[in-house]
Amino acid sequence: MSFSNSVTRRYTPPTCTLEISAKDSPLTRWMGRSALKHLRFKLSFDDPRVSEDRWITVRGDRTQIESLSQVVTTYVQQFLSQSTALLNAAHSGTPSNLSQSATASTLSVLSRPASQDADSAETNPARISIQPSGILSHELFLGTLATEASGASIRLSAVQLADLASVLDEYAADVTALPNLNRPAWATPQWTSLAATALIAVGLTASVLRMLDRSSQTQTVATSSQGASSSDQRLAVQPLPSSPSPSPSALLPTAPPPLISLNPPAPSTTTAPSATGTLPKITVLPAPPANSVPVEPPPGLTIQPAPSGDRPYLVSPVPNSLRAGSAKRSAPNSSAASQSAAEERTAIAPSSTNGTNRADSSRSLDRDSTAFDKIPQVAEVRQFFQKRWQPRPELTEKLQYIITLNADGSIRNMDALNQAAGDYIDRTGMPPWNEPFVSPLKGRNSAVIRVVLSPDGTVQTFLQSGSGQ
Amino acid sequence: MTSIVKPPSPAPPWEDLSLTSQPEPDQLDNIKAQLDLILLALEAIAGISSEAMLQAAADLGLESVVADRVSLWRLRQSSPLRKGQGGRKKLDVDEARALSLIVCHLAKQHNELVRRSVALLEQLAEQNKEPHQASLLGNYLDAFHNTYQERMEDGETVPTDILTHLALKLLIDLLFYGSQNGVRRLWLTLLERSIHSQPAHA
Repeated sequence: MSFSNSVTRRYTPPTCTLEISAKDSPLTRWMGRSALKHLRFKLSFDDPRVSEDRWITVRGDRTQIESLSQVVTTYVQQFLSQSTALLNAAHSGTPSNLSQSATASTLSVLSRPASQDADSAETNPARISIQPSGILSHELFLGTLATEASGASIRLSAVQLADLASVLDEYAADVTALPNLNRPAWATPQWTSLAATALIAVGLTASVLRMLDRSSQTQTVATSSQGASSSDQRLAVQPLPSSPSPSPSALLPTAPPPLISLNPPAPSTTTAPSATGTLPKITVLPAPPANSVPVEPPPGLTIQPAPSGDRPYLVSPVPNSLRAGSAKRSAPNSSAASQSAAEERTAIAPSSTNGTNRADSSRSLDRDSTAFDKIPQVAEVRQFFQKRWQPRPELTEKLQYIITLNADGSIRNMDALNQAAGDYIDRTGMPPWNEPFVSPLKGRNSAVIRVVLSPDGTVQTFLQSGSGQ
Repeated sequence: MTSIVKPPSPAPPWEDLSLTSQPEPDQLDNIKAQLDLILLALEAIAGISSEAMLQAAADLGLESVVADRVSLWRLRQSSPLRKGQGGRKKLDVDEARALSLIVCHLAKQHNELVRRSVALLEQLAEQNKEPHQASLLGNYLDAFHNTYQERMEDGETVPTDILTHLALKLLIDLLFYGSQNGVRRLWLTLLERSIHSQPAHA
């Protein structure tokens, strides 16, 4: 594999510790501060005033920590606002409920029900909430962060709440965590790898030409349907550093694809390169490992846009054909199509409406199936999850993950391939990063395994690739 | 050549405290009262004098708003709760911002002390003891009460229990105001239109 760009951060106020484990995104340079992806966190409530056996640790992903941050911020704000109400009540001819004993622990006057909008699945997918218990004590309901050890809720004192709030603030100020782009279920990593290397194979020429096409459109980059990814893609329009020739193992980030795969924005009509201002040098981003699949594809591979779009274009090293492709692509696309189209360029996936790729897809699937269990770790991973994965009747789809193994059998990287997989990550028994959980790899430095967890409790694993780099 | 995007320079604290419109009069009253009381809490817990507040103003570059003892006093005196209804009662937004920044600056400076006090309070509460039983807190409450009674119109009539409750609540609030995002938190609290009944004073 190419260089590791794992990032860990640690924030240590006195009564809790937050550790972040993530990958640095190449977009950091454009975002002005650290942009991380595949973020995992570990939050330990380790108040030294409390005995160690009562320390609680929770773990989760980006969505969960953002949920937690949101909940804490809102709750703290409500807490502080109580003083206003208290003040007013004190000076307006006191209602009787205020003249209570001032024993701090029973000060429950004016403690508002802190149930915010905690129940909306969209605003609070992790179902985290905090309820006050007097002014000195707050019950943090962990929602999806809860474990057997932690229980459903943790009681926080005022100081602990303050530390929690400040640690989340520090994290938020420090880091931008990028969402994992969801890929359509049929965009398997196999296709991602093919797509990735297709693009790499295309090289600079294609991207330069595309840039020329698009240079007149940069002003009109439309926002795509997904917030962060759109801004990231827009950012990707900026000139990239020229890097030495991308190594075969240069991997594309899971986050928005590199510059070459710009969203077609608003309907474009340009086909001729226009000499607008500076012609930036475009390079494939020296991307850190993402889904880690650096397989060389056959040249001339066709990239299909998502089913809703229908303008195939050829990706090849030949400028002319590219230009033809761009011309075709210049037809209006819906933003959804353009979003998925962008995805397609990194994840060449067969459109369900177009048959021309079928041959390609079935070829690679065959390759896949013969690779099942080729290394013992595939079976080991399967067994690992079989012990832990329970039937989940509430699930309507399978959960799919891509696990990249280090040589020593620990997880280097892990991706959720669909939204449900992301949501359920903590219920899968997924082991923590960098802890060996299968036997060490022999004869290779890494392995990529796809894990499929079905609602009925079955577990499947597939070796994706990982040819020892 | 690559153009490196520079990280945006941290916005000055003012940027955070933007208002879309002038606060309503009763909201402003609230703001004045709260700021004055939060400062009172700081005085009571950390023995902060006007000197310290002015120094904070200077450190923050706010001398134009809070130039000297007199202007500080007048700003605080604008609180509707204060005795002596004559004199300046206005507090404009810039002044409110300035006071907020000063509050948080001081709260941050004295964060250790505030933290220790709150921790102590928690401990006593768990043991079902009264706050006064720890001298740190006992002193704080005394100072808060005395100063309040001296300065405020209803100083003599406000029930002790309520005042204690308020004092302790403000002490805990200081823990949050002294943190990284304290200024924003304070500002949001001040601006919030909370459920409140008409203040007794007119």
